[in-house]
Amino acid sequence: MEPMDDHELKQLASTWKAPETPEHLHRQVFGAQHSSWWAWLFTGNIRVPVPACAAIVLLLAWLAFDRQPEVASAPAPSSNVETVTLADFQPPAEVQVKVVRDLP
Amino acid sequence: MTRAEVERAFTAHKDAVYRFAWRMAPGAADDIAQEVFVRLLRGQARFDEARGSLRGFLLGIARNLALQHLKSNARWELIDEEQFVASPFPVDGFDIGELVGRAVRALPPLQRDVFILAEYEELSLEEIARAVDTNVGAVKSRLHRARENLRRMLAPLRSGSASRVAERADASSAARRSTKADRPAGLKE
Repeated sequence: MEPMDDHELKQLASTWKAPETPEHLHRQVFGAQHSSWWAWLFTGNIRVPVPACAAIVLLLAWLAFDRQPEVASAPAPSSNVETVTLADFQPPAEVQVKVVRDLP
Repeated sequence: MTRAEVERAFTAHKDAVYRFAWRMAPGAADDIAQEVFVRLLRGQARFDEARGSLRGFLLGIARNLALQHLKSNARWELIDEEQFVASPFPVDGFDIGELVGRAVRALPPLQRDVFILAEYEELSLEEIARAVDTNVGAVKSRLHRARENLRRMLAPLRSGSASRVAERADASSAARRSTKADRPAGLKE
C-alpha cells in the first residue's frame, strides 16, 4: 500500500469540524467585568494551599489552648483566708467630742 | 489594551481561539477561551505587535492554558514524544470526521498543538514557533512526526485505495453540507 500523501491527509483532516463558538462566551468574558467587588464576597472563592491552611488551623488551635490555662490557673478562693466584712459596721449614735489639752 | 480593543480582538478571534481550545481539550474549551480574553482584559497578557500577530498571540495563550489543563487532569501521558509511534485505529462504527478527531487527540500534546495550529488555524511556521515558544526547526520536526503518526493511525481508512479515502471524505463533507442546508433558517449548528 502506498503511504498516504500530504494532500490525502489534509483532505481527511478537513473532515473534523469544530463546533460554533457558544453565544454565552461574550457574556462570560465581558459580563464578569461588570460585577461589583462586593458581589465577590457572596459568590467568589479563593484557593488556599494546604500548608497555609494547616498553619492557620494550628495557629487557631494554639490560640484556643493557650487561653484555657489562664482561666484554669486563676486562684480559687481559699477557706483559710480571713475575710473582712463591713456589714455590721454602724456609725456611732451620739458623738461626744472631748478636747484634751496639755496642762501647763 | 483598552476594553474597546479587547472587544474588537474578541470579535475577530473568538472563533479561532474557541476552535483551537475545543480541539486541544474539548471539556475545557469554554473555560480556556474565556480565560484568554479575560487575561487580555485585565492586562495579565500584554500583546506586543513587534512579536507577531494578535491571532498567534491569543492562540499561544490558549495553547498554554490547554496544556495546563491536560497536565492538571493527568491527560498528559509521560511518554517520550519523539519515540511515540501511533498504531492504526479501528475504523468501524465511526464517522470519518470523528475518527480523525480521535486520531488527532491521540497525538502527544506537543505534536497535537503544532498540527492543529498548522492544519486548522493555518498559522505559518514562524507564527507557530512564537505561539509554542520554540524555534522553527523544532516546529517542523514536531509537525513531521505528527503527520507521520496520523498517517499510521488513519491508514485503515484507505483500505488499499486512495480514491476511497477521498470519496469517504467527500461524502462526509456532503452529508454535513446537506444537514446544514436542511436546518431551518436562523438555527445555528
